[in-house]
Amino acid sequence: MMVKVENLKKNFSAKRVLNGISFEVKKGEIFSLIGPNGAGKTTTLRCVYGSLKPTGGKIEIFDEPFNEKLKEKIAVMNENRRVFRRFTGGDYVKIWSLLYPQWNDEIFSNFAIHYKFDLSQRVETYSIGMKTIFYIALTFASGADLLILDEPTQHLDPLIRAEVLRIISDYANEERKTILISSHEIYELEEISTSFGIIKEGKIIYQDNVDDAKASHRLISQNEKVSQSEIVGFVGNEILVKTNKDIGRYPTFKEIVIGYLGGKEEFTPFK
Amino acid sequence: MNKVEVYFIKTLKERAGLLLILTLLLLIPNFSWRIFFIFLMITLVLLPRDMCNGKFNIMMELPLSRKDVFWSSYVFLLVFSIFPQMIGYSFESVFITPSPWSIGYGLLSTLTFSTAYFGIAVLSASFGFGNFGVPFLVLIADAFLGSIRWYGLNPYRMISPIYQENITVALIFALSLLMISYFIFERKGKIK
Repeated sequence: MMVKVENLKKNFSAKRVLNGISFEVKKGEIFSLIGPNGAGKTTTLRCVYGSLKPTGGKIEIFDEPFNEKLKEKIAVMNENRRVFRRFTGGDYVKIWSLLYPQWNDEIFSNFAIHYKFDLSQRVETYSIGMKTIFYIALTFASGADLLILDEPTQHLDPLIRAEVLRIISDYANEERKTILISSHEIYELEEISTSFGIIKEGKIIYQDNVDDAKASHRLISQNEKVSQSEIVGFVGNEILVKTNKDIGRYPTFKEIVIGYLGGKEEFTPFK
Repeated sequence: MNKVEVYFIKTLKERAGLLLILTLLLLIPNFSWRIFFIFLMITLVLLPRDMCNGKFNIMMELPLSRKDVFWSSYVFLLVFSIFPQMIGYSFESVFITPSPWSIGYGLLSTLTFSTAYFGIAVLSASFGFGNFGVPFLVLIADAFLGSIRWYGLNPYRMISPIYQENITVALIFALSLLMISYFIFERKGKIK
């Protein structure tokens, strides 16, 4: 197991942000952590790569308890694309190549040429989209076994977004690297994820691989009677149920996520 | 070694201007001025500032541990506080010849002050009290408490990082502050 998180808890002062998060990621998987803003996605990732100390629970990376020596095998792209002041692209390449023993200059150069990075320019002056691409280039060239990408396609135009998704997918499939992604972009995640966890209010409420999740759920109309099925939540005028029975219709990945996140309470502001 | 180098690259790049000014000012061969400029370096350039402005988070995203960052920052402080002082001594020796004892004592005093206030500033940042205000109040309190004499006695002056009346005891006190700050930083790791 590449990542194993068990009953992870995190408090900020008296406020509990993570309330018993558990999930597992196997080698070569692309695991997506999906949830609304403030659900605890970024906090979970920060605990996994050691930026935050958990209040409770257990984190294992590469089958051993998390320790800071393992960080050489983990490459991180942060959510806000924060960068060091006055650092040029070249400075970043220098420090990443110093810190990652498996650093691959050729991979970085390929990105640099394709996306026309100006390595003499300060990274803080790059556009937000360019910073995203730059971080993706750094993480892929690091040679790390586990990539942690927080909102990896945010701020990218549709063409580059599609290209980046393909690169992420190829990297996991061909290089057998493991990728942990946090994102809101449900459509994109369906394209590349092998498994996913839905996080809500500091808890993973559902975890599965994408194909099994689709096979084990159905969408039925509100008047339809069901038995031996677990009602998950509303999706528009339909109800998402977890069942093995051949009823209703198969949901899309997006509908499964909405069903779990929305739950059984319908928001009706005009009634 | 790579990790220390990365910390030095990061700090030299980000705070080049202020560091240059402070390094030049540290050439002034006067203990009171020197400790004030060292205080500014600790609070405005090094780890306590990184902890309060979010740069520590970026370092934590890299393969660096809290231990790496803490000790790299401390080594940086020692290099940039002691080397200018040594250069200052070499200029000073053109006019007067300082004894090896006074040079050694001067360097030890700088080491004691730097160590104590690095610890104090990291503690302040770790508990969320900021990198400058609280350490500055401690500096003022230190100066005030050390200046009081009661029948010619003031035991605090012995350990005071500013007065260092007994350099050995003051150094032990400074090292204790440093180690306490390290253990609290390791455990809490205040992150903005």
